[in-house]
Amino acid sequence: MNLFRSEEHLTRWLRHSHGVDDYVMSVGDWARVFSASAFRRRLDPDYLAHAPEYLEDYRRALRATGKTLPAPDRVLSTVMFTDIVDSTRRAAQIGDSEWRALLKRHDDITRSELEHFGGREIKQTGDGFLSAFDSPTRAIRCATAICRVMPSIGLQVRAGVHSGECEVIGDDLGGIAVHIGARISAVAGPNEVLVSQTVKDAATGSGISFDARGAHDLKGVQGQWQLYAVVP
Amino acid sequence: MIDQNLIQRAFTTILEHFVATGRARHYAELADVLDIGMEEAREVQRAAVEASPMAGCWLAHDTDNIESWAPFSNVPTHYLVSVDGVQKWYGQCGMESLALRWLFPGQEVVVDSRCLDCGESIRVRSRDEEILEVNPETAVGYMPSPFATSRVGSGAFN
Repeated sequence: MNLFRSEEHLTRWLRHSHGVDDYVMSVGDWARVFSASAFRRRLDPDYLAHAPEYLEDYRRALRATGKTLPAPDRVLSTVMFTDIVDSTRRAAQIGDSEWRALLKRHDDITRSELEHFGGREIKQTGDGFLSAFDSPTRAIRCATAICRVMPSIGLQVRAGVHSGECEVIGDDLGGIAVHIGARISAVAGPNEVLVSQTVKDAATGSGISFDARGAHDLKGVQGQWQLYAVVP
Repeated sequence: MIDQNLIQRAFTTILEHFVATGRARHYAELADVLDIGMEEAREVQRAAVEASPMAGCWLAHDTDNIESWAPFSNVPTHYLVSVDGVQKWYGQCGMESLALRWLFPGQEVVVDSRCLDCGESIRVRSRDEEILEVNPETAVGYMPSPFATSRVGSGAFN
C-alpha cells in the first residue's frame, strides 16, 4: 500500500495494469478514508470491542469515494474453541520456563487430535485454539478427546463447538458464528465440551449423548442460547 | 481464556509507547507495565495481535518481536514520519501514514516518502482534519485488491 507521484508512475511501476478490484485514489481521498473511526479511535480504551462497527465505518468511507471492499466469502463450517482452564494461575505456579514447555505439549496434543479427526487449525488464541471442521460430529469427538487427554499432562481444557456460516478472511475465519463459538467455550467448565443447539441437532444419529445445560446469554450475541454438554 | 480487558490494555499500551517513543515495547517491558509475568505478557501480546482489526498488527516471522502495529512500523520503512519537526516514527504503509495524524492531535504530522517508480520525493503535511500539503498534488495511493493473490510477489504488495 504505497504512494506514487502520479497514476502514471504507478502504472509504470506495476508489471501489469492494475486490476478492477484494486484501489487507486488521490492522497486527499485516501486521507478521508483513513479518517474513519477505525483509524481515529485507536487509543480509545475500548477500541477492540468496537472493531466490527469500525470496520463497517471503514467500508462506508470507501463507498463514499466510489470504492467498495469485496464482500468476504462465506462458508458453512463447524468451529471448535479450546482453552486452558485457569492458565494464568497455573503459569504463575510453575514459572515461565516450565509453563512454556507445558504449553508446547498442549499444542502438540491439540494438533495431533486435530489431524486425527480431520480438523483444521485456524489460529491460536492466547492459550487455546480456534479450529474448523466440515463435520460437527468430528468436532465434538475431537474436543472430547482433547479434554480427555489434557489432564494426563496436568492441564484442564474447556471447549465450545458451534456450526454456522463463517466469513473467510484469507486463512482466518470470522463472523458471528465464530464469536458464538468463543462465547460457548467461555461458558464450559473444566474438561467440558459445550455445544449449541445447532450442533446437537446436526449430530442426531451420531450416537453422541448430550445433557441439557439450559438457556444462556452469550456476551455480545442477541437472544438466549440453549447449550448442551457432551456426555463423555 | 485471556481476559479481554488485559488484551485491550496491552494493545493500547503498545500503541501509546509507539506514539511516545517511535518504537514498540518488547513483551518483557509489557510485563512490567501490565504487572504480569513474562510468559503471560508474551501470550497477551499474541492475543492482541490476533485481535487487531484488519490484521493491522503483526510480529516478525517466527519471533515475538513486534514488526508492525498500525499505523506504525517498528522497522524502518520509506514512510518517514515527523511530528512538529522531529522524525522518529515510521509509517506501516502509505495509507496508514495518513492516519498517523489522529494519534498526534493538534500537531503537524509530515510524511516524507519516495515514489517507488522514480525515487522522487512525496510529502504529505497534515494537522488533525486538515491536509495542509500534498507534494506533488498529483500523488496517488495504491492498495492492491486483497483478493488479487495471483499478483503476490509482483512487488505490488511491498
